Amino acid sequence: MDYIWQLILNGISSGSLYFLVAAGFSLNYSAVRFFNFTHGLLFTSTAYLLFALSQPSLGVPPVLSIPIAVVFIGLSGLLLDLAVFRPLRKRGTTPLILLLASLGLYVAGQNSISLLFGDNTQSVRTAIVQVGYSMGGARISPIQLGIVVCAILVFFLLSAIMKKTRWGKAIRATSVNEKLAELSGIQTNKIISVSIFLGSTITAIAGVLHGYDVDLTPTMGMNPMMAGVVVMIIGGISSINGIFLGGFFLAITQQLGAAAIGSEWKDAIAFVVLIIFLALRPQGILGRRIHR
Amino acid sequence: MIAIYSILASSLNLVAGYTGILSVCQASFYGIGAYTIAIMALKYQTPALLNFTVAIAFSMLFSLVISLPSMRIRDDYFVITTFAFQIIVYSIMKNWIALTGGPMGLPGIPDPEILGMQISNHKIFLGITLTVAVLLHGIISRIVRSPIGRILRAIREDETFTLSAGKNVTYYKIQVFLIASSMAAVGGGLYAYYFNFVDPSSFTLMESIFIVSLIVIGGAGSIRGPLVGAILLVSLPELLRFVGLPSAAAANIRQILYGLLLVVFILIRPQGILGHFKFSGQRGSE
Repeated sequence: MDYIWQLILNGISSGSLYFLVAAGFSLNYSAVRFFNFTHGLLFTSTAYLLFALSQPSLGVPPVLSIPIAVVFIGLSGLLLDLAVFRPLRKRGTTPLILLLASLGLYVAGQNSISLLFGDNTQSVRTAIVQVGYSMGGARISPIQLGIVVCAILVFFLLSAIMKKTRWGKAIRATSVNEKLAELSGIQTNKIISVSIFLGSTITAIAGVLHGYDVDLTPTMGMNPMMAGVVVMIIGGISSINGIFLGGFFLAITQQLGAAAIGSEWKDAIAFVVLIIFLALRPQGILGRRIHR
Repeated sequence: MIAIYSILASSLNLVAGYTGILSVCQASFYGIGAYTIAIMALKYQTPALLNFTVAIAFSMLFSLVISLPSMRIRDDYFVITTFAFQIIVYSIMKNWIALTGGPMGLPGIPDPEILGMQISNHKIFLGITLTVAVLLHGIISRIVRSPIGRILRAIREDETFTLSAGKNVTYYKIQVFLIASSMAAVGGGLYAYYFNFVDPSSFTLMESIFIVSLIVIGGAGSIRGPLVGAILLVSLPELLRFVGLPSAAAANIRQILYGLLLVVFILIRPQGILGHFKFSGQRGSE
């Protein structure tokens, strides 16, 4: 029984990370309507930026470097859109090609990181590796706890923003129907930019947390990003609650599945879940729109 | 290698360039073909032609697995599905060690036995590969010029309209997928026999993306486009070697170049060097 509880705890921690990545991705996707794979790049870059800033030669303390890195990457996400994707969208490029372009950028970016920082693992952790708190017979590390707390905070914050503030309503309106929103007087371009910035920032935060959890490798962004896409789809693209649930659903399914057939199958499990959802319930757990 | 990649690119062109369905799992069919041939040659020592037939059959089976349930899924979600398929197949290649040898792959594949003769001379095999490539291209060319080709292009331009004209769109989509996957499998078999070794690292998602960039850069929707793409992009690393980059950085720089080239082409010349299909334009009824 203890073993299952540990799995569930792991699942909660992974699920929280997935939620963060997926929420960021969903904010972006709802605004621009294509799967932007540069998100994985933003994720990885934040961690590496943090690493670079914390080098002895620069010696920026985490209190400063974390916000700097997060905001910088958030802005970079916006910059990327303005420079590459927005002109393409104005031309009416299909989402498929935008996806392809984002993949190209991801490949170029990830390899640049490999060039700059090497393919070996780098670490931003300063404290010694701790055993972690004990919680009802299972272990969870401090940073994992931090991830869970962060996810819960972001969840409540985002929900509040989306439902109560004018910005939030504008974002939701724009994501449902851009033309209609524009007619209602919403400055859609600004709103889209805000969504992208917000999404990129949340992804950046996730990148930092993940970096503290498992150290940095240039490819660290790929798996969380894919998981984020899966979670977003199975949760129902614009539904924050759905994504929250979806994140834990996927993570716990992965943990249980990995325990049953081996942890190397974790990726495959995620995608099988995705295919099942796409075939049977494309709108996700709590999604509203049905895509044909 | 150029020949093999041209097969991969052109078959994908049929699906993506002519019919307008983007698929990022070509490498998985490529891999399925390669591994099937490898396993059959190693374990059963069956003649090459039989191996190829089985590989094609397997590949078509798998492509049915993915295309049948997914035909109801909208275009860009379908890409994600092909994405998922690619990763799942890659997982299987890497993890099902008993069957596929895992990350270490399957070495020592014997040379192909055609009509009782063992073909060990690489030059002869090159000749065979080129012949096969020309043959497959010929088939693709015939398809494209035929009425079927016109239907495919109609699907690409406006799927709803084609449906209302009475054509069974799903049937054609599945067909084209089957053809593309079987050709990719042939490419895989050629690869397995040429290198006498297969391992998962040649069939990754990045590989699929590479194949897609071959047609984006070379030109989608045209017959010679993917050829140009294959020649260009496969020779690029060889050219780079003359520039004399340190080998550790070379792989990364190559990838960076591919990625950037892809983006640049999409921005500046989306139809590729020789292509007809711009991958852009209004969708649906605008």
